[in-house]
Amino acid sequence: MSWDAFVFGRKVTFANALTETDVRALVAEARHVHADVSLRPTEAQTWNLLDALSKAWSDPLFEPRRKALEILPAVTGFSPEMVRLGLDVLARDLLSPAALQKKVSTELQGIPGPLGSGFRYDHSNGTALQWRPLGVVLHVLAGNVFLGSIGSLLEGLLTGNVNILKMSSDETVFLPLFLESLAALDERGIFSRRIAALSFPSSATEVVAAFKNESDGIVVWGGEHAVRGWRDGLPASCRFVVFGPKYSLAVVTAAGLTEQGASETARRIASELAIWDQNACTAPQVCYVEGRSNAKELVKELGMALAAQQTALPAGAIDFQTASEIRKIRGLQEVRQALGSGELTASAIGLQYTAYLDDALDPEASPLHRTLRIVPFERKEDVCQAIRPIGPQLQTLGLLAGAQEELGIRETLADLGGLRLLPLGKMAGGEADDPHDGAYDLPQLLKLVCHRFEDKWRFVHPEDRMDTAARNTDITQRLEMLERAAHQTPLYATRLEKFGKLTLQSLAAFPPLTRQDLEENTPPFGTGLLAPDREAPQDARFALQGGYVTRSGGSTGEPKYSLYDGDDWNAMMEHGVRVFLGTGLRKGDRLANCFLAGDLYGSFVSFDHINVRLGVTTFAFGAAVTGEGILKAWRGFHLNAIMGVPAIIVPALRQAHALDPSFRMEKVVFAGQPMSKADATWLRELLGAKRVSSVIGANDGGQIGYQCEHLSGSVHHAVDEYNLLEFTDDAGKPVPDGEPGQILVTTLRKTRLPLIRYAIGDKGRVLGHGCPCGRTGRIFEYLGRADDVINVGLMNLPVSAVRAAVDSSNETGVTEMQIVARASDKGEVLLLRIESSMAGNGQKGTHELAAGIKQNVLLGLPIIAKRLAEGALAAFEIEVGPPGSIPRNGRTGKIRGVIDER
Amino acid sequence: MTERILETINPIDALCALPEPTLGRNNATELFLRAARQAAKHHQTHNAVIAQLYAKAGFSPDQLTKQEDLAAIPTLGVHAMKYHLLLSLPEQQAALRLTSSGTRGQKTQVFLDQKSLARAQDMLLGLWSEQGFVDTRPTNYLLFVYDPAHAKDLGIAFTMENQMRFAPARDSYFTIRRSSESDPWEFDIAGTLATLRRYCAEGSPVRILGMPSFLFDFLAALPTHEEFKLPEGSAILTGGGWKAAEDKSITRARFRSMLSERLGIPVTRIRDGYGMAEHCAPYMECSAHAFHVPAFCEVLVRDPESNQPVATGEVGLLNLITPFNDMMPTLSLLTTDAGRISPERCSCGATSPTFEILGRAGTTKHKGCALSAADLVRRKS
Repeated sequence: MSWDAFVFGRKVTFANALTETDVRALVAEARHVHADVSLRPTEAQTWNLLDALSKAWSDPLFEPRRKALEILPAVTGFSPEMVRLGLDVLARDLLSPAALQKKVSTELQGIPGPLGSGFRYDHSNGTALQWRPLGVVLHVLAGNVFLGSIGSLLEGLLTGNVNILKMSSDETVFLPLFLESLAALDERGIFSRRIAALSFPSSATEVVAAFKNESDGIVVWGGEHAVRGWRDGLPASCRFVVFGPKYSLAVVTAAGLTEQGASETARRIASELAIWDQNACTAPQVCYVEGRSNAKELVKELGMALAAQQTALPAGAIDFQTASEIRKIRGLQEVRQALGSGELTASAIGLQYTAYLDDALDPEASPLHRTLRIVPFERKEDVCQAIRPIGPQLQTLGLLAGAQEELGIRETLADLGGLRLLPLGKMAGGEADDPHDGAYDLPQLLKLVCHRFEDKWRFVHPEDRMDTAARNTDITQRLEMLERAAHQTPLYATRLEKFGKLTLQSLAAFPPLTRQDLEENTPPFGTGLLAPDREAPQDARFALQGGYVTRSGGSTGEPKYSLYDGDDWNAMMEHGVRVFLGTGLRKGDRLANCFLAGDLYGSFVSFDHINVRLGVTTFAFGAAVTGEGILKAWRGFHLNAIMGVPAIIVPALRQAHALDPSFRMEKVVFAGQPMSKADATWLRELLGAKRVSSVIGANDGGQIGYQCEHLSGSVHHAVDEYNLLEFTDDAGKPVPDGEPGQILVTTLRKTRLPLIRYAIGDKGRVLGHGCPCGRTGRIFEYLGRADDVINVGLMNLPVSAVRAAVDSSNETGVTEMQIVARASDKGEVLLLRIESSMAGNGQKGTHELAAGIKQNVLLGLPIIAKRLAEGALAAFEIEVGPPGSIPRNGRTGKIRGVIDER
Repeated sequence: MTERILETINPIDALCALPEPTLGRNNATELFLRAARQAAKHHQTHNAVIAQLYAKAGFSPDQLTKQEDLAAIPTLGVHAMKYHLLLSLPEQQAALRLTSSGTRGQKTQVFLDQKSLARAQDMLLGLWSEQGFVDTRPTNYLLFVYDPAHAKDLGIAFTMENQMRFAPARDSYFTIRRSSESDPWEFDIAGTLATLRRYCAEGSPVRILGMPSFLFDFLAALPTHEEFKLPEGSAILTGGGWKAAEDKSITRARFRSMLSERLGIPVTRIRDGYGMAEHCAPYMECSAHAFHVPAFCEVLVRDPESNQPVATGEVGLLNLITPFNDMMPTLSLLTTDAGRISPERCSCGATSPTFEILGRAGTTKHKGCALSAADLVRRKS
C-alpha cells in the first residue's frame, strides 16, 4: 500500500513500507544537507519564518488552520473547542519568536549556537565556548497532544539539526498539514530541506536498527515501552534524549484548601483535567488532599466544576479501551458509594468526567480523559512514602498549600523527584524555556564545543581575529537581525518598505538618520524609532524592560534622552568587556572610575557595568575625584588603573603625583575628549603608565572605537561587529578609505531602538585593516566633532587643525585648549586659552610659553597670518594657565572646545 | 396445567437443570425471565448494596417482563468483586469458596451456597452432556495444570475433580510439578511425553485438560518424527485463558489444527471453555468452535461509554447475566472483557446466539509521554 511522506521539502510517495535501504538513503541526504553551509538558516531567517507561521496560523481564514479545525476533532478525539485552543496556543505561544528567543537565550546560556556565530569567551581562563548541532536527529513522536510534534521539530530547527520525524500512528494528520504550511512560507526552502516526516511501525526492527546506527541523536517522546525499544541496542555514538514516561500529580493541604476555598480549588483541578483531556504528561493523575472530609468535599465540589468545563472546553471523544477502564472504575466506585465508604462524582451522560475518593495512597495510572482519584491523607509523610517509588518518573506537581508550609513541602517534593512545582491550576502552562524533564531541552540536541588558544591570544577576543569573509558573514547576519528589529519601528517600517532588503551592499543607499530625526522619534517626544516591548507588545506607553535612560543636551536646548532597554543595555555591556580587554584592563585590576554619575548622565554607570562584568575592583570616585583621594586608594589598595574624562583625571593624577612623586598609575582609560599628546607623554614618563587608551562612544549608540597597545593619538580600532561604521560625505555617500568623512553608525546589537546610519556628529577616516595586536578589523582615525569648526576672521578653522598646530611641539606641555571667537572695536579676535603643565611651575615663563605656542600655531596654520595681514582678523591672542584653569562644564566636567562670544 | 406446575417449581432450579441448554434455549425465554425476576428480588432484599444500586437506577425486578428488559438490570462491575465481598446470604451458608488473587494483590472471592452449587453442577452436566462429553468408559487424564498436591490454590483441584466426573478416571497425570511447596514449578515434558506414549498404547480414551499455553509448549517439544494417535473417544478440553498463547501469535484455529495433526484427534473433539470465577456459569465451544449462549445465561454487549447495549455484531464489554447464585449478587455482571455477539448463525446447527471474546479491555498504555499503568507495573516489578 503506497503512502506519502514529507522528505526534505518534497512529497514522496513510497510504494511499500519503509526499508533499511530507504533509511540509509534518507540519512545520507540529511547528512548532505547538514554539511552544506549555504543551506544553513540564519537567526533572522528563522525568526522571520516563525513570525510568518505564527501570523498565518492565527488567521481564522488560513486554509491549513481551517482544515485542521475541521479534521482534527475526528482524528484526535479532542473537542473542536480543544482543537481551536490548541491552534491558538500554537500560533500565539509555540511559534512565538519572542518566546523562542527567550528559550534560546536561557537554555544556551549566552553561548552562541548554530543560529549565530562566534564564541562566549572567558579571558580569565582563555576558554571559548560554542554550540554545534548533533547532526541528523530522529524524533520519535507521541500521539497524545498534536502540538507535541511541532515542539520537537522547533527544537530540532533551533539547534540547527537536520530532523527526521517519525510520526505517531495516532497522529498523522496535523504534522503534514503544518509542514505544508511551513514549506509554503519557506521562500528559499532552507528549512524544509532540514525536515522529513514519515511513518513506520516501531516493530519494523530493521528500519529501527538502521536509524539507531545512522542517526546522531534520537529524541523519544513516549512511555516506557517506546523508550526501551529505542534505547536498547543504541550505539554509544548516538545521543539519546528522552521525554517521558512521566507522572504528574496534585497536592492540596488543609491550609491551602482553607485559603482558596473548596469551590476555587475544584475549579482549578477541573481546569487541569480539561486541558488536552488530561492527556498531556503535565496533567495530574491523582490529587492528594489533606483530611478525609476535605477530600470528600472536594469530590462533591468537582461535580460542578467539571460540569462547567463541559461548556468551556468540552471533553472529546473517548476510545474503547479508555472507556472500558473508566467504566471499570465507576463500577467499583458505585459499590463503594453504596457501601458508604466512597464518594463519586461522574457525568450523568457518557464518561465526560469521573472524580472519586480513593483511600489507596499508592500512585496509580489514571485512564485519563478527566478521570481523577482524590486520595485523602492525614500525614504528609505518608504521601511522600507512597510516591517515593515513582520519584524518578515524577514530573509536574500542582501544589495548593498554606503560606507557612508551602516552601517546606516544595523542598520535600523536589527531593522526592518532582521536576516542575507549580501552583495548582497552572500545571499545563509555563514558559517556553521551562525545563520539563529535569534539564533544558536545547542543550540536549547540541554539542558544547570548547576552544582554547595560544597564550598570546588570551586577551584578544577570538571573534576579533576573524578573517574578512567571516566578519562580513557575521555583520550580514546581524544586519538581518537589525532589519527585523527595524521593521518593528514605525519610522523604519515605512523607510524599509520603500527601500527593500538591508544588506552590506545596499546599506549605503539607505537614508541616514539625522540628529533631528532621532530626537523627534525618541521618547518622550516621539516613538517612531521604538520597537514594541517584547513582553508587552500592546502597551501603548513605551514600556521598557530593564535598561537605562540617560540624557545629553539636545540641539534645541531641551534635554535629549537616550534609551536602552535591558536587552540592548546588556548587549552593550557584554561587548564592552571585549573593548575594555583591548584597552588593557584585566580582571583583578583595581580601578578608579572617575566618570560622571547622576543627573541622568550615563558614562559612569555604563563603564561601571562593563567593569563589573570584566571583573575589576572598582573605586567609585566619580567626577569628585581628587589627587588626595587617588593617592590614598593607591597607597591603601594598590590602585593600578583609572578611567575618566582627561580634563578630570589628568589634573587629579598630577595633584597626586605632586603630593607624592613616587605615585604611579599603570593603566589609564579615557573617553569623552581627546587627550593631549603632552598629557599622554606625562602619564607614560612620569606616572609610569604602561597603557594609556582611548575609548570612543556615542551617547545614542554606545562604543565605536578603542585603542589597543599599538594605537595612540586619534587612531582607533573600529567595533564594526557592534556598531557598523561608515565614513561618508554630507549627503551620506561613502568616501574612499583614507578620506575624512562624517561617521554614520548602524547599531547591530540594539533591537529596541535600532539606529541605521545615524550621523553621530563626528568625523573620521579609515586607515586600513589589521593591527600588530592580532585584531583583524578596521582601523580608523577619529577626527573630532564634525561641527567643531569655528568661523572667525573669514576663516573656517577646524578645532582639530588648531589642536594639531598647538601640539606640534612637545615642549609646551599643553593639556587642554579652548578656542574663543570675540568681537572687538577693531574687528574679530581669535583667542586660544591653553592649560599647560609647565605654566607657573618655574620651568618656563608663562609669557615665553605663550609666545612659543603662538609661533607653533602660526607656523601650522599660515592662513591666520594671512588674515591678520589682510585685516580680516583683528588679533590672535594666547592665554596660558596651569592645568584646571579653564572653566569646566559643571555637569559633564568637560571643557567646551569652542566659545563664540560675538 | 403445565404452567401451574412450572410455577410451583423454583424457576432458577428448573433453568439450570435444562438437559439441552444450548439447543433448548429458545424455549426457555420465559423461564429465564422468571428466574431473573426471582434472583433480582432475592438480591434486592438480601443485599444492601444491590438495593441501593437498584434504587439509584430506579430499577424494580418486576419490570423484567421481556427479553429486552434484562438490559435494565443495574450491572455489578466485576472489578468491584476484587475489592469487596458482597454476599446476599450469611457467610456461614457458603458450601464452596473460590478465591483467586489478582496482579495487584486484590483477591476475588466467590462463594456458593449448597443450592447454588448444585445448580452450577447441573449447568455443567447439562452442557457437557449436550456436547457429548459425558462418557462411562474409564479414561486416562493428562492434565496441563499445576499439580494440586503441591498447589495452594484449591480452585485447580476442584475444577479438575469436577471435570473428571464426566468420565471415570483410569489414570491421571499432572504435567506441571514440583517436589515440594518450596521448590520451583517445572513443566515435566519428559514425564508428560512418556505418559502420552503410554496412554496412546493403552487404548482407553484420553482426556487432555488444562491451559492452552502449556499445551502449546508441549506441542513444540514433541519429537518431530514421532506420530501420535489418541484412542477413539478422546478429547482435548482447554480453558483458563489464552493470554500466553496469544503472545505466541497463533490463532485458535491454527492451534486446534496443530493439536489435531500432532496428536491424531478430530478437531471436533478439541474444545475450549470459557468461564469466569465471578460469573461461574460454564461455556463450552460447540462442534463448530463457537461459544453459544446457553439457556441459563444471557450475554449482552455494552458500549462502555454509554453503558447501553450495542447492536448485534458490534464490539463492547461483555455483560454476563445468570440468575443461579443466591449467595452473591452476580445476576448481571459487567466484565472487563471485550466481545461481541456474532451476527451469523452458527454452522453447528444450534440456533442460540454465539459470542466471541476479544480480549481484556481497558488501558494499560497511553498514547504519549504520560506514565501509564503498564509503565507503573513495570517499574514496581
